Amino acid sequence: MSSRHSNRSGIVLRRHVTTGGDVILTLLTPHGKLKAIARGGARGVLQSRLNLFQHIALQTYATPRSDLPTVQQVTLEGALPRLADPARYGYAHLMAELADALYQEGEHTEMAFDLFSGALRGISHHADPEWVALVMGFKLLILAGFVPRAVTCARCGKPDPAHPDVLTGHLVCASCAELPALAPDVVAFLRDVPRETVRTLMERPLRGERRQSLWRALERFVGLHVGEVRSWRGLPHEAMQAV
Amino acid sequence: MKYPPSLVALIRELSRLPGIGPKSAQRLAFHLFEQPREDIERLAGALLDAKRELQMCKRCFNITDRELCDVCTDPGRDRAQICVVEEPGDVIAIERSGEYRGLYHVLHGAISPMNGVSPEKLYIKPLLGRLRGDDNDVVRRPEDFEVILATSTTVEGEATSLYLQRLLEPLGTTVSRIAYGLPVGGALEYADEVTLGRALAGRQRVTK
Repeated sequence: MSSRHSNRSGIVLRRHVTTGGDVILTLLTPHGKLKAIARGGARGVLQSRLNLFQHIALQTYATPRSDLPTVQQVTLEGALPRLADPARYGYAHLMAELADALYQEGEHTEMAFDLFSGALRGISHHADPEWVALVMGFKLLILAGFVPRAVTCARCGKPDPAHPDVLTGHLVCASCAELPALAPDVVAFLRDVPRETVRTLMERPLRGERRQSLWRALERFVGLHVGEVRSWRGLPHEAMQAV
Repeated sequence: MKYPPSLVALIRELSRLPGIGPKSAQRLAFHLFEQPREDIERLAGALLDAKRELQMCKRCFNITDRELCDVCTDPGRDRAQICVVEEPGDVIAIERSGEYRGLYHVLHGAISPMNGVSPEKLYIKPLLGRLRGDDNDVVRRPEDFEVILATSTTVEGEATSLYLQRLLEPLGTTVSRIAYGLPVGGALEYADEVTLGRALAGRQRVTK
């Protein structure tokens, strides 16, 4: 096989069908993000393997002058059809959009790939997909280097802050705060999320108003570090009210 | 050598069309230049007429040149069946099959939060209106209708279909989904695993 050929395996983060019937894919692979074009992919035999959130292995061909490598062969490695469920669909989009924004092409992203695939599996199978999305949303941000400051005040450095910062989603102390303090378990979650495992965090779900506080914190944090995320509006009603 | 400004403008406009790259636009521009003036005027007239005349059908949101499209005004259609599709092109595809004699409803997209397409951006509300008899059609009650969900089998199409299913079920409307399966004339050996799996899951009994 020539050096212009490459074999990769990844999860489809985005798929855009051009009017000519080509499919432009963005995948998250263990070796970074990958963009490729499947010529005639919306019509041919490949079409069912090029769906959103599917784990695929693909062979691409790139010439030095081509903008995007061309997909030549695709095999399906895994699909999560339950992600089309309206109660799960919006969360899967949020994870994909975050992963797309946070990780770049050519970057070694093996841990991000594992985290993202775990997030999709959790959203697909777990009884509480909203909590999976919250935990994994924070974890994806933290892995990319964006850690919410919750141990010391984000403005003056005093210990044990408990108030949300309107702009950044970090925590600030009472003297720097403009908003009322968060509930102690919300503060504890924000403090624990960088160091605790996903399993431990999943065992301590927050509910009701506390969960909404976390959505607001995540939205502010994402707004500052990632920028505009269109999937917020696709979240199921309760989560959307919070943001 | 530089092209004359009018030719550059023509190439630029042509290359804005979907599926037309700069090279194709250049070829088209030279082809148009070689055509007789009356042919060009006819083409320009057709473009302007289409832009002026075409609109969305007030009832089903298909493309038409009148207030209601040919399908909605056809008295021979089964008015208790509404086939929901994503795009106007899907109506043509189903019509070509010759197997369907009901009405249509075009959503103009599928739910895709990361692309900013929420249910409110699709023509779902008018569909609910049709089921309640807002368009003064013969069939008046939601439970008298069958809605056939013919959105695509992508994740986006499936999500839209499931969303509509949950929205319509409480109204008492009969909701069905088009079948998944193998293409007619295709060899099993070359079918992809997803389609084959769906075809097996949706198998039909052939003995009585």
